Amino acid sequence: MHSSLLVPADSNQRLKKLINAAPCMLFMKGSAQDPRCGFSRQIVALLKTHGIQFSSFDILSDEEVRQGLKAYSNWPTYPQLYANGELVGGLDIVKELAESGELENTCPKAVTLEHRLKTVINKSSVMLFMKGNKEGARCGFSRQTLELLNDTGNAWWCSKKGRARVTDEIRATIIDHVINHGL
Amino acid sequence: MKVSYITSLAFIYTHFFSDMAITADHIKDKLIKELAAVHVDVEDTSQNRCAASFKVLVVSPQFEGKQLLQRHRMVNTCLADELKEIHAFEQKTLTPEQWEKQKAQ
Repeated sequence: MHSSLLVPADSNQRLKKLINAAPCMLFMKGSAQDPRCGFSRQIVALLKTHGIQFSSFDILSDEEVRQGLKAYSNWPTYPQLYANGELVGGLDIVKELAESGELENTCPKAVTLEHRLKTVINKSSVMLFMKGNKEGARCGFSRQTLELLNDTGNAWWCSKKGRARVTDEIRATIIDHVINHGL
Repeated sequence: MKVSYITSLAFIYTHFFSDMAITADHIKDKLIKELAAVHVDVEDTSQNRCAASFKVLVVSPQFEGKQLLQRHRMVNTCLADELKEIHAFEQKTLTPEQWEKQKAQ
């Protein structure tokens, strides 16, 4: 008989929800910023080194989860790492996965801003970063550029379904990218 | 009446105190017996911490064809009772083949 049957039904529900709260969930002692045990500290460091995107839960803050999760997953120790709702294991396993290079395949990587920009810039052979969208430009220069492109009959695409919001960070990075790498 | 008093004291003593000390040897024996381990290293790391802590290396043919998680679960199941008392636990699981390879390095 699986020990999860010994945990009350609604408690099971709560644990299931918690485990699936993020694609990669770490149940640890303390927080990712302030780990309260050597193993938890090591696992956080490993995940960060490999650029793994994860959320964490401090089992020291909730005794019900602390004991309940051990029974639910039939795993006696912390930290516990879950990927897509499934138990990956503890520090030992994560260490081995990191060594064999399998960790990145098991857990989703954090998407850096540079990666996002690269993806968006290359979305189409011609990409316009403007204020507003194809249907309605929100500034004079954007409107003029729109008209120019439309006149030349270029097939082009505006990112994020026409609602690209260029934040200051992206703006600065694009300018830097253009200056250093060219378009 | 005096005899039964002493007997119950003895019972209480052995029942409570002999179970409390989890030794490296005890863990080693269990792993060999239940997992047919061909090699076991048990390091008592309790001096680094305030409570019973162990680091084990288990080499067993039973790990053949099993994923990491499954292997660790086998060890966890074997030491289920002990793990309730143990504060910190580290484990490494190898097949005899992996063990030979590692030794050769």
